[in-house]
Amino acid sequence: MKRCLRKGDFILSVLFVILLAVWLFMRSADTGSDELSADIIQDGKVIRSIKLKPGMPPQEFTVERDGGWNRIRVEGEMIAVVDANCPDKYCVRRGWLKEAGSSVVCAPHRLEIRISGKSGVDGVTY
Amino acid sequence: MPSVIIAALSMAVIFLAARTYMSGLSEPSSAQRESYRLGTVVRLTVWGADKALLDRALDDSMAEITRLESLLSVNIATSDVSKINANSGRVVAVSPETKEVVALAIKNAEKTNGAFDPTIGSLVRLWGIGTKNARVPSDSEIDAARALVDYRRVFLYEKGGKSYVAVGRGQSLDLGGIAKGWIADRIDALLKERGVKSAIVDLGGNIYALGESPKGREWKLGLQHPQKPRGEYFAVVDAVDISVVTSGAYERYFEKDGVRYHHILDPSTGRPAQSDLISVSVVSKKSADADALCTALFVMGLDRSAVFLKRHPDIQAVLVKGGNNAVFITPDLKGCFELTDGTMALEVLK
Repeated sequence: MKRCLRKGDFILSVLFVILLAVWLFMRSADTGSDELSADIIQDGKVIRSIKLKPGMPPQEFTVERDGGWNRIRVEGEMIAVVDANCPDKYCVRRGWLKEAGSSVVCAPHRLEIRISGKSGVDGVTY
Repeated sequence: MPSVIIAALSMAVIFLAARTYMSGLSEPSSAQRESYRLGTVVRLTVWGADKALLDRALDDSMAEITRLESLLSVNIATSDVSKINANSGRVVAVSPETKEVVALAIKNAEKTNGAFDPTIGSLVRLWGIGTKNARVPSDSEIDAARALVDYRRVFLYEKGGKSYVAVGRGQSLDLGGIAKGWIADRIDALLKERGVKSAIVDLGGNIYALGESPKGREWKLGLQHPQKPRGEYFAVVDAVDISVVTSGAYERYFEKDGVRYHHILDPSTGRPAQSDLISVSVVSKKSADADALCTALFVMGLDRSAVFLKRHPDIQAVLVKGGNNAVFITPDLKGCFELTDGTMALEVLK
């Protein structure tokens, strides 16, 4: 009787352990992929990275390079270039970026803003 | 008590084994380089086990892109293309690479009956779309510039191991519609030569997907949605060792008196193409062909494109019509194309 109980006990604990390990594994494999953040990239280097979270207070700042400037605004989970002194203002016309993988480029000022996070594709052609 | 210890140990072992297995399987190391080249953002991403190899391959690739740009760019005064243009009507010695791109451009011009034409430089400069000099030229200016656009007047040859190119007097080469694609092909070859098995070569939206994804499946490439901000796509193409290039009127344009003037010029009218298409993507093993052909198909419009694609079944394309956003694909794309925007209708070309 005593032997029997010990055996059942053992099987149960092994089962419990396997379940716990699987759960822990799933959790750890899934960390940090859903959160959105915007990278501000100048000349190919990330000069600033901003977390995009709902409910964050809006912020605005200016990025400069050789007399060229872009005014960037962040509101919750969105980011946009709201003003710039580039000739075509292409970056301003792009409007708000909201989704992972979205980006805007201001070629004259060598500036790019890109939202990183979980994207459904490996690249987007344009 | 022993069962508790066995339990704890086995848990640790299972957990660690699973993590190690999965990280070894799905997360090989990756490396990336990004830079402003070719008038756009160039981003190379490679995956593999040997980080040092990846870094070397990327550094060499970026150096190669810079070198090729210095030969092919119209915006660099010392480039081969600038020399050819400055000496129009005369023979100019050029690098073998420049001659190769010009030859390929002429081939694509012939294939598309001039819908793609690398001698469009005079018109590109006149309109200045995408620069601070963008303006609507007068009819006589357009006619004068258009008269200079004719790929049949380009002349190239090799002699004593040297390469030479000449354009007609006043003509101006602009390889902007093919150079990025051709460079993507070169980088694809260079990376493979260095042992890279998995990479995304992104030259300003011209993408070459090398090998397969590190996740052990084909690459998923999104096609830019013509009405949404960059990065948002309307469809996904599965890609292995293939290039996808997209042309759209939304990409570069200026507005004057309420009219939008986009950057894809029609060589036959000298004006932005009055196409019924708003986006064209070409899927091809050769990125240079994809690059040139997607501009050409855009200029041709839907009906002429459909006829052209039927005559060239080796070319795979995705066409989006303006107005109703109808999407047309070539038959061979069935099975590796997925429309993700539910508001668009899909039709397979015959």
